[in-house]
Amino acid sequence: MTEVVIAGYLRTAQSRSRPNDPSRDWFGKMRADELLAQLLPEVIKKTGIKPEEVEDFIVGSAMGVGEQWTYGGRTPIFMANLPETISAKFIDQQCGSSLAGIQIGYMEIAQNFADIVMIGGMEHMSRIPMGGITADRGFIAPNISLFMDPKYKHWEIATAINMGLTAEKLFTQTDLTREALDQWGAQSHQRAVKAGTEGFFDEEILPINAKQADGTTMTVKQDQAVREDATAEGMAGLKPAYTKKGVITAGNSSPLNAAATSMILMSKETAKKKGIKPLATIRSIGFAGVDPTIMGAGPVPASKKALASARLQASDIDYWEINEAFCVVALNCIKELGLDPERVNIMGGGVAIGHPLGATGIRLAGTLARILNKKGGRYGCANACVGGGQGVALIIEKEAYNW
Amino acid sequence: MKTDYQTIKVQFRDGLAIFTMNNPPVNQLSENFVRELAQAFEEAFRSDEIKAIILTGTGNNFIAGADIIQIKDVKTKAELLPKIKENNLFLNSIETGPKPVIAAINGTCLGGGLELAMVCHYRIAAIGSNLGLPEVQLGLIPGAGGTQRLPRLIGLPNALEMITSGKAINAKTAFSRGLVDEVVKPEKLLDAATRAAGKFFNGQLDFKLRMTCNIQNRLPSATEKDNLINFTKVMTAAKAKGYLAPFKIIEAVEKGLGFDLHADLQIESDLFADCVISDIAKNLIGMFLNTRAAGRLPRIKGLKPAKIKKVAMLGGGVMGSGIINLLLKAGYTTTLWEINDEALEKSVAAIRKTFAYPIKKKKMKQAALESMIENQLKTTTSLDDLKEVDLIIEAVLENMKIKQDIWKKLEGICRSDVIFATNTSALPITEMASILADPGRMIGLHFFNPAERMQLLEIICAEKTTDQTLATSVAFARTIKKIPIIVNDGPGFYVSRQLGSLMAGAVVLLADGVDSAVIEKAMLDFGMPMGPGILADLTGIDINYHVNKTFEKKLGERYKVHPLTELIYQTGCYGRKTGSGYFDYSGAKPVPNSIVMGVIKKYQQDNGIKEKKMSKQEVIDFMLANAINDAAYMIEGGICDRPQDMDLAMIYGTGFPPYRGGILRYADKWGIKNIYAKLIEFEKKYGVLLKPADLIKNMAEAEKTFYQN
Repeated sequence: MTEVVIAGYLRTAQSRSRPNDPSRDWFGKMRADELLAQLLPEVIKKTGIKPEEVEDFIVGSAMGVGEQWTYGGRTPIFMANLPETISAKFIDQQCGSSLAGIQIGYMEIAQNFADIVMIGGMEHMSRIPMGGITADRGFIAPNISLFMDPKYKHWEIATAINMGLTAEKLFTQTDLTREALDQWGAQSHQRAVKAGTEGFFDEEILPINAKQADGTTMTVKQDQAVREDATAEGMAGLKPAYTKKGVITAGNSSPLNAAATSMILMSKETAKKKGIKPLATIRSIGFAGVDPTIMGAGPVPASKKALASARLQASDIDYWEINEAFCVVALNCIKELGLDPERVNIMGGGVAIGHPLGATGIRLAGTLARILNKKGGRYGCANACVGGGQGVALIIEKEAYNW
Repeated sequence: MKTDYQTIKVQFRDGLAIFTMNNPPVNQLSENFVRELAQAFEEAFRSDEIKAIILTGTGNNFIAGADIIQIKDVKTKAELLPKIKENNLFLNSIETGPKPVIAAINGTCLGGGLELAMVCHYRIAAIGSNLGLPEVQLGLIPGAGGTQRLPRLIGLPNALEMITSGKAINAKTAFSRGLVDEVVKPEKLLDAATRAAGKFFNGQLDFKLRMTCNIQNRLPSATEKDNLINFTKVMTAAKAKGYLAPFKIIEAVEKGLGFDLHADLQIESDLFADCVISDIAKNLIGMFLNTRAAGRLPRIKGLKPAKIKKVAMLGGGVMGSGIINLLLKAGYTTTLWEINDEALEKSVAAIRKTFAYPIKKKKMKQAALESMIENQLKTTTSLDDLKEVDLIIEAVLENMKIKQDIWKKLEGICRSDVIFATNTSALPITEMASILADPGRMIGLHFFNPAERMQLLEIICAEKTTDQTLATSVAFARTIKKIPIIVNDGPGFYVSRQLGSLMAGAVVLLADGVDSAVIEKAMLDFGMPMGPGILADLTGIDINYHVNKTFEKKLGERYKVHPLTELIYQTGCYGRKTGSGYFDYSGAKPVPNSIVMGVIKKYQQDNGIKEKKMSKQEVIDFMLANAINDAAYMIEGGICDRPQDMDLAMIYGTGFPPYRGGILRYADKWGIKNIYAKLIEFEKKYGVLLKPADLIKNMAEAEKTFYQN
């Protein structure tokens, strides 16, 4: 197999989305494809390649409906005025979409079907919200039989389709406490604030000039949902968001966000030839299906598969990026895989930085690669749970790249 | 709750309140109607027994719009804005109210009707309904949320198209665009509405999510909006010159469509008020009302029109085939008479051709045409076959003798109550009728070319035309969807003579050294579809010349053919049909014809005339003063006396710009005193053509206007 490296990574800041009050979303007046279109030429430039050298483009989103429909991945190419020779595809693996994009791009290069592949992710949760609203407006239409027909009863689709309920159910299968969740949530914010203050994210965020609801223009270069004032005590006071006696709150769940993410993959050889210093080398990928009513368990088997393929143990991994769709997902994974919490989401996780569904995978992989560079680790693993009952994972290795 | 409303029938069923709106004749919104609606909603919202409300209408109307007569009388924005606000508050109270409201759209749902439907939480349209925001056609913009709610429901591109064109869409299109949630057969409408209510009750639908003000996902991004608005501005600037509302619509969308719909409504209200108080809206509303009332003359009030079932058409040429198109579409059994079989064959081909466009555009099926021709159309070369018809329309050669011979023969063949209508555009009808034993049955039905498309029908009463003949003709005009304007016999009747005098000033100015391009441009900018030169080339300079000669003979010295007209006629360049007239048509675009321009130049040199600079406004003043003066002469001469009809005739018959309201509306706005002063000035300079009519003089002195209100 040809070795594949992450040669470039760039994202927008992640705004905080509010479908009921988009005027407070810094990106409220922009579409996700407009964010992505600004990003793509910049990631190409930043990586140090020519646009015409990109052979394939894989773009992911969890809600490829309405204005996030991409004509098979082509409209972002058109909107960025990139060469027509870049083929494209759209990929939906829900919250794993852009990690799946990386996985496919990796396979294309590893098998020598392509040499340079660009991956994109986008999601705008104010403009194309998930859940009931989209179903109500006919954007999505799950088959009613899944809810009605006794032969599908065992899927418990009403729970499986509601992420909050799956998190509640996962919680009941662990010995975690509400306090642990809140603590992790508060820590996620504190870590993100610290990373932000130290300027860690500056290098991965492309500032975007965005029209605001009041007509002014704002240069958006910070993740909007990160809170300096987040504490475990404060979070303890929040009401359960999904069930009356539940533990999942707005504080220990990821917020709604809008963002676009991008990444360039290429063969290690090409990077060498071009004198490009990669961020990391991809070593392994993993994907797994689990009970959809506890979709948050997905990262565990997915990571195990990726570890097995790479012939590594969980303890060989220096840093982890586990998507904090909910704190319970990260904590469950830490416990099941026996991880050191101090090596997980060290720059803050989805609860603070945000989780723009389909765009998240690239953010996890990109941030992880940058952590390995900054902290000097060797192996890193990024994973995410996926609505519908799946997990995806990616293992990368930071090498010396002495050229 | 209270149930005895004048305009709403209230019923209760299983926790549902069904409001059936009933404000005859078309459920038009009026102050009282809205007040009752507001009260009914308020009570239903308060009642514990009522869980949801179904809103529907009687007959074929949901709501056909707002009462524009009320709007027409508004003078200031200040008096209007509080009313708009109150209305918006009423609509907002439904939209954000405590209970689901389901609009069961049973038919016409226009303007304020659609705006009301759009604050409901679920919309079902019966097949056959039509939905639209036609305000722009009356010089207005939607003033009750239409500009802000429609884009949220169907997206900005479709919404802008609907609002700026004013065109309604049918139920199926409304469904495919997302304006309604369901389309059902009319008899299933209430069942469907009840089922929809059930979905709100069992939680399948969340009415808070469905409040239009909460729907954001079809709002364009800032960049998308900029791009679409810029494009629409360019298109509108080209298409809607002289109008106001299309630009106000764009402004409402540009400044509005934010995340707070209720704040944006204020922007819309203000722009709506701008339109309401504009002259343009007043002109267009006036025109709309007058169009509806056209043909309702006091002299035929109360008369019962005779039933027309069978119609004969004499002559199947350009006009005849177009008229038969109308007769077939209106369902008349039609007999076409021509002089021989060859002419008949040609005519039938010409009739088919008049349907080519709707068939190509898929507005009509070929089979429908075939069935009409097979079942409704008979052809003959024998006048004896016209024995059974109820009305005969004649469009044969423009020759008095030929026409009179035919009518004379027909008088011996047809029943005595059959109406004889001539489509002559130039011959005196009183003279034509004089050979009949009963001249009272003869009338002029002057169609305009192309007859199947032009909306105007100029009805000309000859001296002895009876009221019954007129009443039946007016009713007939409505059945073939024409706007009937009634005038009396005289050279050129009204429309041709008035159009002639609107353009007649051109040759006077040319003779005085004004550049022909300036005159053309001035009239185009004024809003006429064509300038005088292009129009003359289209109708034929020779035809105009002969008409002018006839006028000179019959109407006297004011109509004396201008010496320059004489010279231009002598060039033999008669316009398009000869390849050149004022313009040369041999190239891709018409350019000034050097022969005619040379004649004009030579005339100027021979008479010591120097090139004369004139502003567009000066040209317009001159041209319009002449036209208004001639209108006054026509009123004096008894050709016509109803300014509203005269104005409609020019708008529908010649493309006079609707936003200017018509020649006489324009005159009133300009001021008869000012016109009189101009005419005196012009007469001194240009002679008798511009001699003010006594009527103008008297009106100026008495400070009167053509219109009474």
